[in-house]
This record gives sequence, C-alpha cells and structure tokens, in this order.
Amino acid sequence: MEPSDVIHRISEKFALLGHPIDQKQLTERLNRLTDEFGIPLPEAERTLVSDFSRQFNLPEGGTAGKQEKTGNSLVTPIAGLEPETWVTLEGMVTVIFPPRSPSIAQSGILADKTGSVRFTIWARSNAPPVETGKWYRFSSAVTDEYNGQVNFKVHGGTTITPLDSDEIPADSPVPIQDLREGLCTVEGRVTTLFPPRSPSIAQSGILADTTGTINFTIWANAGLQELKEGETYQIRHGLVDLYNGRPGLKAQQGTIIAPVSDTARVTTPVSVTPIGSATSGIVTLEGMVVASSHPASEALRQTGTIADNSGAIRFAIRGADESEELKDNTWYRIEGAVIDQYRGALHARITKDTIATVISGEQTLNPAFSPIDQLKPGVSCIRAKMVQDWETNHERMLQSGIVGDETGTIRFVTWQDPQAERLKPDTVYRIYWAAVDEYNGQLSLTLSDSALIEEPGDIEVKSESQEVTGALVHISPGSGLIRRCPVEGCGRVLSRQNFCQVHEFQPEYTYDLRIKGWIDNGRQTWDTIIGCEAVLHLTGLSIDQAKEMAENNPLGPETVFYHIYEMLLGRYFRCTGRVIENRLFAKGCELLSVSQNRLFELINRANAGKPSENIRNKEDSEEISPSSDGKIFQGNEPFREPELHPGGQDNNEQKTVPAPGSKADVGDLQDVTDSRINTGFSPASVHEPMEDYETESYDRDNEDEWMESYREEE
Amino acid sequence: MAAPQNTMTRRYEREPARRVFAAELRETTYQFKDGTEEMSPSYILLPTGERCNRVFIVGTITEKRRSEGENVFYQIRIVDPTGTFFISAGSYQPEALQQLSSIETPEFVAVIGKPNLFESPDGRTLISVRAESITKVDRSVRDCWILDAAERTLERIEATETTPDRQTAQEKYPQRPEVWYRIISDALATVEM
Repeated sequence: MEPSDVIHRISEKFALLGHPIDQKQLTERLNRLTDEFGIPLPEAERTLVSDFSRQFNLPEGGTAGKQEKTGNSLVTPIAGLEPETWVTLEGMVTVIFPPRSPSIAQSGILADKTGSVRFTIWARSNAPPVETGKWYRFSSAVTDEYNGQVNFKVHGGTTITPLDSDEIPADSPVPIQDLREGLCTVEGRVTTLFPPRSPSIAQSGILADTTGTINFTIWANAGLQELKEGETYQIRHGLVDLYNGRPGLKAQQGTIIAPVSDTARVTTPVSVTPIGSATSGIVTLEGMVVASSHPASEALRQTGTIADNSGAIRFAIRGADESEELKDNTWYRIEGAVIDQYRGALHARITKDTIATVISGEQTLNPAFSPIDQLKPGVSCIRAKMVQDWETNHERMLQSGIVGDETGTIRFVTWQDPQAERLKPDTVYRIYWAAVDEYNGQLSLTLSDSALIEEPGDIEVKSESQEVTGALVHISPGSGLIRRCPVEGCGRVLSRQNFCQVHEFQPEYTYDLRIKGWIDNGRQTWDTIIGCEAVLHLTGLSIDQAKEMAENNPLGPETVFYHIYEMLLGRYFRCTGRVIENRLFAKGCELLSVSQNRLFELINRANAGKPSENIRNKEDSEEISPSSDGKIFQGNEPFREPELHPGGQDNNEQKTVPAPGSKADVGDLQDVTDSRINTGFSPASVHEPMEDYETESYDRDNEDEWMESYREEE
Repeated sequence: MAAPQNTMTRRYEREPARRVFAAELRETTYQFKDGTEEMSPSYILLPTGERCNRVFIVGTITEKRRSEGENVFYQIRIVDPTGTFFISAGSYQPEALQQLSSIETPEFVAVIGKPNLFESPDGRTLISVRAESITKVDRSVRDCWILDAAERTLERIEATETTPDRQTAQEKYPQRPEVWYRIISDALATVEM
C-alpha cells in the first residue's frame, strides 16, 4: 500500500459523502503522522478518516463476532477442564449445596485426584439424585465458566452412573510433600490438634510424616472417628485444596480414616538430622538452646532458637501442650520435632509427643558466619558493621537500620525487650542467631533474641554506589523546590509555615531542589530521591531561577513542581547513587538515549526467533480477501473503543457493559481488525490484505472467526 | 516472636509498570485477583506469561475525545509500531486530566496507567488503560521505549523458568512466540539511528 492510495481513498470516500477535502492538506497531514510520528499507514488512514468524520459529523457503524467451541472426549481429569466443552467426568461428590432455584435439582462439587469442580444438575434433566461421598461417572456433561472458574452442567443428555467399588480408583499413600490439589490418600501422624473453632468442624490440626506437614480439617458432618494426637492414620479420599496458597487437607463424607497398624506407623527417625540440612517433616535434632523467650500470646508457651554447628532453627512450644520448657544454654536431643515452613523459614514445633532429653557432657558450639548476600530465611550468624541508624516509627521498636559486610547490606530491627541492646553506628559486631525474615521477597534481620559481641577493627562494607536505569514513572509531592531547617545537622524539610518537626519555626530556611518518585525498569522499582545537583543538571535550572519561578507565579512552589513534572516524568534515566533495598538516592542522573549497539543486539535477538518467511498459501489468501468496498468502509471506522462511564470508579468501570449498538459495540470489530492488522494474527488486514503478514498459516481459527464477523457486518 | 514485625517494618513495594507492545496488550483476555479480599490487587495476565497491574507506554496520541456531560472524561488512542492502545482518564485521575487538557494530536506521549478488561455484550473481551499520568515527550523517548518494550517482551518469551503465571498463560493463550518475535523485529525496525 502506498500513501497515494490512502490519499486517493480518503478523498474519494469523503467526496462521495459530499465533503471534498483539499489534497495538499490531506497529504501533509498523512505525512506528518507517518513520517514524523512513525504511525503505521493503516492506522494513520484510520486516524484521518476518524478526524474528518467527526469534523463533518458523519455517523459510525459496525458489529462484532462471537466464539463457540464444541468437542467431546473420554474421561477428562478435572484439572484439565476447559469451558464450553462436552466431557465425561469421574469423581466423588464432596459437597451438595442447598438448591437455589426450582430449575436446579442439585448442585455441588465433584472431585477427582487432579482437582475439584462445581456442578449443577438441571431439574429438567430428570437425573437420579447424587449423594455426597459417593463416586459417579457423568457422561456428556457440558462445561461452562463463571467468575473465571470452570463448572459443569448436567442436562437431559447427560447420564450419571454410580461407580462400582472396583471402578473407584485405588491409590496408594502419597508423601505429604508431594500432595497436590484433588482427592488423595495420605498417611501421617497427628502432631497437633487445634482447639475447636466452629460447630461445623469436628477436628483440625497438623498431620506430619517424615517428608512434610499439612493442616487438616475434619468436617463434623463427615461422621468420622475422632483422631488422637500422636497416632498415625491413613486418610483415604481426603480432599486437598489451596487456601491462601497453602495446601490443606479436608476430610468429609466419602473420606475414609483408619488407624495405621504399628508396623506401618510413621516413626520418628532415630538418626539425627543436622539442623542446617533439615527440611519439613518429623525429625530428630540435637542442639543447644541459644535463646528463648515467653511470648505474650497464650497460644505459645515458649519460643526460641536451637543451634548446632551446621545451623540454627526457631522452635516453639504451644501453650496447650504439656511439654516441658527448654532451658537456655543446654544441649538437648529432641526426638520427633515437627518442622514446617512459614514465610520461607523453617520452624520446629515441640509437641507433646516430642521427647527432649538433656545431653550431658562437654559440647562446644562453633557456629559459622554467613555472608550477608547468602542469607536465607531462618536463623543465621553474621559479622557486620552497622552503617545506618534509622528513625524508628513504632513505639515497640528499639532500633532499626542497616548493617553491612563485604558482600552486601541488610535491614535490621530490634524490638523493645529488657535484654535487647542497641547497635552503635560504624561499629563491627558478631551477631549470633539473628532471625532472618522474608517479606515480599526482601530479607531483614530481627536481632531481639540475638547475642551481640562488639569487635574491634573495621569492615569495608560493599560499596553502595550503583547504577540504576529506568523510567521515572511517578513524581511524588515533596518534589521540586523545598525549604530545609537551617539548624546544624538537621536539614529536615519545613512545612508550608516553615515549621521543622524538631526545631519549630525557622524563618531563615535554606532552599533545596529534589525529586521524590519512582524509577522503574519494568521488572523492578526503586523508591527514588534525586538530589539537587542532578535536578539542576536535568532541568537546566539554577536554584535562583527556581526561586524566582516560585515567587513570581500565583501557584508558588507548585509551579516548579509542574515544570519538573512535565519535563521529566515518563523519561528514561541512568542514575548513580546509593541503593539500599528498593531505595535509591541518586546523586547523578543522565537522560538516556538509544544505544545503537543495544538496538542491533535486540534486532538480532528478535530475528533469531522469527519463523521462516515463505509459508505462503495463495489459495487461502484469495479466498478470504474481502471485497474492496467493504475494505474501505470498514478500515475507516471512526473512533470507538471500550467505552467507560465518565468519572467511573474502579469497580463501576469494570462492570460497565455498553448497550448493544453503542459506540463500544461498534468498536468491537475494529478492535479485532486493529490488532490483527498489526500483529499479523490475521492475513485479512483491511487495506493490504495479502501483503504483509499473510504467511501466518498457523492461526486458522482466528482467521475464520475474523471472517465470520466480517461477513456479519456486510 | 510476638512482635508485629512484618506489618510495621515492611517498606512499600511498587509493582513495576510492564513494557508491553499494543499488539500483546490487545490479545490479553485474562484477569485475576491476587488474594480473596475485596481490596486484593487485580492483575491482567499477559499472553507472554507475566502478571501486570500497571503499564508504561510511549507512543503517538492520534485521537483525544472529551466526553459530553458534567464529568470531564477523556478517551484517547495511542499508537505504537504494533497497534493501538485505548486509554481513558476521568476525574479519578486528576494528574492525567490536567496534562491531557494541554496535549494536542498528534504528539509523542508517555503514559503510566492501569489496564482493565471489559466484556462486551457479545462476550468479547476488550482492554483499556486508565491513565494515571500522561506527559508530552520527544521521539528519543519513544525510541528508548521501543527498545525497552522489545527487550522486556523478549525476556518474557525467552524465559525458561516455570512460574504459576507462565503456566496459566500457557493454558489461557495460544502460545506463538514466533509471532511476538516478528512483531518485536518490526517494531525495532521503526527506530531510526
């Protein structure tokens, strides 16, 4: 397609409608769009037609396509269900809900060992009623989707057959660490029973084997026997589901629970697991209690840290357990501790079935120190220097800041506690058994229970001056020209009334320029402060000019803010400065421009993945070529798009469905054509149907669908 | 430990604004919430297998429509080398509204915004971006963005590590890396040296 064709087509179209357009003006506008702004020709044409249509008050029109899928299969695993297909399913009915409407005979949940799915049995289907805890085959049911979840419907053509006992899939017990969503059989020891929470729950607690732990719930209506702590059971046809991303085991009608004979019971391993290599499950440990405390909460009797020479782990004794407390600085052999994971860190529970015996005799503990860049959630010893002392923002917090070693830095916090001590700035410490926590992928240290030993000497903390490249995607209030407290060593930002938080009214403030905001590279974000020098460099302003700007404008300092905002927001920068976690203090900043090497490298990378060019199928191309009249009309649809309600809030907007025939409706088809034109998902680009991307023969479905909608429009 | 360590000391983490070509954003049809609460963040899942609740876009604004009626409301089109983004801004996005009032078409602009899926009456899924901010930029910023979007998209299609999001994407979308490669290659070809 040539620009001249486009110009010809546009002038002809509008001339026919009684609105002749000046050719020269048209050419200039088209060239501006394509050359100056790099807009693809079809989109430029669409833009111009839309502009002129609006200028001449011409109407807009169109329709949209639809989707339909059918199919059938043998027995489908529930995890593999797709909406709008015919399926045969086998599973156990785990729940039946009270009927909501006379048109529904029954609804509930069916589970197999891959997952579970909701079902609805229509009253009209005249199907025999199903019962919870029983196994059935549903032949020729139809799946559907509601709120993003697949479900299935039983209609007149569906047959429901109860499964014979030999048809019910037999499964052998699965190690707890391998449990997945769906029905399962598992063997484990009840290590903990929780206090009753609700009348609908008979029992809940923790089940463990040597590979892991899982929380379980036994529904009251399951009519199952009561489990005892410390006993091992086989739970057959229990249902594993995910709650907040953690698997849980549910026992309900249809679940079979049996005590496991003595020979098969889950036993406590006799061999000792080094703490540093322990994983979830029931274990035997030997180590020294290096710290312990009594939490305020009644649920916990004692928490603390136990260490051997391979590592250390947090332990907890529940208030409800009769277990004896462990004594500090004492070595224990702990048989049957139950290790599980919480926020990435392992914890050992001492239950009433755990046997803790004091080990007498001389034992020495030589803990290894970990480099900061190799810390993992759990408990570690480090050797580090305190490099930053932050203002604390919580009354229970004694101190927070940053410590660092040769390999990196990490945030720390110490909570108020009679034994807790503050770290002194620029001092090196050996920090024993600090709790390493993870939150949102960030590690931090809690030092409340740690032993701190001050050390002479110095550590050269890994240089924090780093380079960050990204776009400035947000500029926060507090950016621009600010006034600071002039008191020596303070420099706090003053309020509008020149008030310092600490030194009160300060009429003799000093001026400063900065940007507070977020730098973002598409994978990572930095809470950024760009310092005065960099701001002066980027804006070309001087402090005096900024002052003048603020003084001579009715908006005051906001003028400077908006000047910076318009000049720098949405631009790419290379910043150098200190990076601590996700904070960046940028001393230097440069606007980024395109690097030729990077461009060539990316072009090569993209070309390496492209398919070969000549798969062209001439017949197909011709078959789906739209008529020229249709092309012109359709390709020049004026503006339309998913229409939102003016000023709508998030949730309103989401639910807004434009009425049929509204502009959004019109927009639909165009939306499809737009994306197809440009992505190559369809060969039927409106104006250049067979030239650009027609070699894509791998997406026939899309083409057909597109053509269908196209014909409907005609 | 009884201390409320995680609630009191965690720092605010901002979700990265994804770099997505129009062609990919327009193919997005799956949206989900991370969590079960009403205020849990909502994400779209890009066909290349990454969750996204914010996008950074640089392109040419080709159309700007102000709604008729009491509330100021704009619908705009922004074009990149691969297709068109539909952007909106209303009174809940005051910064964007203020900037928009002084931007004319055509012009290079940078937009930061939140993508949202809509369902049309016939069941087709449409996507639009609510702009949080929009600023006028120059061609060099647009070129930087094309490289940036190309690199991030390549990273997404070339990623080998399996994540839950990538797995979901494989179930929800036809996987056709060769199409993305072609789109990226074509987009890069529009950058003039």
